[in-house]
Amino acid sequence: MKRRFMGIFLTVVLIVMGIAGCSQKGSGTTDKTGTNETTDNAGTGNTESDTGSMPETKPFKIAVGLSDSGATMFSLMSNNLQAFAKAAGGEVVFEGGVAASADATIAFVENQIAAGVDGILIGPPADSVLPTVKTLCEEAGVYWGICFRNILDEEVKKLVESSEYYVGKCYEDEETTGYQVMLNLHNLGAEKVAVISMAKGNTTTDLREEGANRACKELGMEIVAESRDIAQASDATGATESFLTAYSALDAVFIVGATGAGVHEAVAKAIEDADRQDSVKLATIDFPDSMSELFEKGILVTCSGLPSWGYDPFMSFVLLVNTCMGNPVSDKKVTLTCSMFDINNKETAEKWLKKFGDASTLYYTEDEMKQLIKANNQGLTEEELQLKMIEFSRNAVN
Amino acid sequence: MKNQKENIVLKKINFKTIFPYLGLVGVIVFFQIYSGGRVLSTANFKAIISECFFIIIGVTGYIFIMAQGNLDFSIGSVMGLCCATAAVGAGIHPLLAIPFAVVPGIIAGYINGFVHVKLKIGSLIGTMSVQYIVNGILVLALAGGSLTAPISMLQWNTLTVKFIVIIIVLSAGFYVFRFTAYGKRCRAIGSCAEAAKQSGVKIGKLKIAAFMTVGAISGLLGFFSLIRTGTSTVLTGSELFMNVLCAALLGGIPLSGGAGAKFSSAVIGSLTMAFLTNGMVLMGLSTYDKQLIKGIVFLITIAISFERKNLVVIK
Repeated sequence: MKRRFMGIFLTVVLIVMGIAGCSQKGSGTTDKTGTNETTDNAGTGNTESDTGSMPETKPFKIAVGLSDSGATMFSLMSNNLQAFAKAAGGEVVFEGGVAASADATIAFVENQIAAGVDGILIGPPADSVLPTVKTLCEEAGVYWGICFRNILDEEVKKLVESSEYYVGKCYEDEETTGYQVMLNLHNLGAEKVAVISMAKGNTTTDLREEGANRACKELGMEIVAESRDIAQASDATGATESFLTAYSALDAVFIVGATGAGVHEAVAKAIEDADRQDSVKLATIDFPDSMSELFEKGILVTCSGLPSWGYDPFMSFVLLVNTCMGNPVSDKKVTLTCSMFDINNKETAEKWLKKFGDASTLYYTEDEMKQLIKANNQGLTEEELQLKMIEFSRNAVN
Repeated sequence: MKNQKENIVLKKINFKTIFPYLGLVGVIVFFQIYSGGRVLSTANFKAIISECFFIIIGVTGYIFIMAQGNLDFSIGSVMGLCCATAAVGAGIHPLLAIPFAVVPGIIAGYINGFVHVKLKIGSLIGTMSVQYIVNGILVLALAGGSLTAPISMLQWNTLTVKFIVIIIVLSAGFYVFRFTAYGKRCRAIGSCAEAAKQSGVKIGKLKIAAFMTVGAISGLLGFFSLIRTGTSTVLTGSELFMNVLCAALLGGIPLSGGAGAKFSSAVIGSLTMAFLTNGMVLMGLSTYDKQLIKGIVFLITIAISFERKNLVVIK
C-alpha cells in the first residue's frame, strides 16, 4: 500500500512539474522583470497614459522590506512609493518585519529574488548582513539599496560599494537624535528615564541609545530601566506599568524605537491610568499619529523624527528606480542624508499633522515626481536630490 | 461487488496518513498555478532550499524528542547562543566555528535532559525555563550588541553546501531513527514509557540523548545561521521553534510521539512549510495576508491529520 501511495505521490509531482515546464514556456523570458501580469499592467498601461512624453523605459518591479500599513506613517510611505513607481511605469511590493532580524532580511532578499524582482530596498538590522545581501543580489543581477541606515563597518562598506548592483543609501544621524531627545528631557527637568527600544544589535536603535547614554554622562541623567523588542501595544502597557511600579522617582519614558502600531498611545494610557501624568513624561523618536492629543494632555513633551518617516525610503527608492530603468542618478554609489527635527508643542504638532497626518498626502505632485526620473530630467544628480531633501525638511512644518 | 471493493480500498487508505502528502502536493499545485509556474522553476530552487534548510534540519533532530512525546522549547534560543559561540570561535579561526557551535549545543541539550529526567520536571516547563536562561546568557554574552563572522566565512553559504548538508543530515537522521536501537527506543518511549522500561530500555539516558541530539542540531544551525547572516544577535533563532513545530505537525508527527512518528513526516512537513511560505511571496501577498493564510492552512491540516486518540498532556 505504501508503494502505491508513493507511486501516486510521485506521479502527481511529475504532473505538476510538467505543468511548471509548460507554464514557464508560456511566460517567455521575462524572469528578470517580474511576473507577466504585473509587468504588463505596470509597464505599458500606465507609462503610456500617465507620463505622456516620457521616453520608452524598461518596466520594473521593486521589493521594499518595510511594512505598508498598520500606522499612518507606513501607509504614507507606501502610497508615495506606489505613486512614484506608477509615474515611472513600474511596480512595488512591500513586506513588513524584514528589518527586525538578520534572518528575516536574508529570507526577504532570497524570496524576492526568486519572485523575479529587479530591485530590492532594505533597512538592514546590522552591517554584517550586507555582504550576504550583496552576494545574493550580484548572483541574481538584482539592484539593491539601503534606507534608514549608514554602513559603519569600513570593511563591509568597501565590499558593498565594490558591487555594481549596489545603488546607494539614505540615512539619518541617529546618535545625535538620541542625544537631542535626552537633552530636551533634561531641559524639562527629567533625570531618571526608562527606555523602550528594539533588541540589541539593531543598528538604528543602538546608535540612538549611544546618543542617549552620552547625554546621561554629560548631563547627569540616568537610564533606570529598559524594555526591548516591543511589537504590540499590550506589551508597551505592561512594560510601562512595570517601570511605574518599580521606580517611584521616574521622570520620563523614552521610546527609542518599537515596531507595531499603538505603542505610544499605550504608554501614555498606562501613565494616565497610574495617575502619574504630572510627574512622568513621554518622549519619542518618530512622530506618532496621536501626537497632537498627547501634547495637549501634557504627557508627550518632546519628539524627534524625520520630516516624514517615509521620506527616507522614498528617496532611496528614487535612486533604485532610476538605476532599474537604466538611468542611474550617478555613476558612483550615492549617499543621501536626511535631517531629523524636533516637535515640542501642540501647535507645531498640528502643523505637522496637517501635512503628514493624512496617509494620502504625496510628497511631490505627479509632475514633480516625473522630474525625479532621469529619463525625463537628464540633469538629475545626487546633489540635486540632496538639495531637495534639505528643502523638504525646511518646509516640513511651514 | 464494485462498491464493496471500493469500500475495502478506502478502508485500507488511512486518510490521515496520506493527508500530509496531499497537503504538500496541494500547496505546490496551488502556488504553481497562481504564481504563473514559478514555484517549481529553477530560479526558485535556491529560495526553496534556503527556506526549508533550517526547518528540515531542525525537524530531523526534533523528531527524536517528539517521538518520545516531549517538546523542546529552547531549540531557537540554543541556536542563538550557538551562533554567538560560533562567532567567537570564528574570530580565532574560521574552522573553529563548527565545534564552538556544536559543543555548547550539546551541553545545553544535556542540561535540558538533566532538568527533565533528573529533576523530574516536564519537558514543557523545563525547556521553557532553559530557554529563558539561555536567552539571558546570550544577552550578557553579546554585551548588549552583536557578534559578527569574518567576511570570508560568508562564502561558505552556498547552495551546494546547503544541499550536501541536507542530504547528509537527512540520511543520517533517517538511518538512526529508522534502523538503530536508539531510534526504535525513542518511539517505544513515546508509545508507552512504562512498557519500554519493563523491557529494559534505559529511559532516562535515552531522553537525555534525545535532548542532546536536538542540542547538537541547534548548534549546527547556529553555525549555518552565522555563515548565512554574518551576525549573531539576540533575535537569532527566535522563529525556529515555531517553524520546526509547525513543520512537524504539518507532516503528521503526533504530539504524543510513539510509533506514529514517521521520519518521512519531517521531510513532508518541512517542504510544505517551505513551499507555502515561498509560494505566498511569489504571489506578492502582504505580510498580514501571509499570516492569515498560513494560520488557516495550518489549522485545516492539523484538524484533519491530528491523531486525537493518542492525545496526552506533553510530558
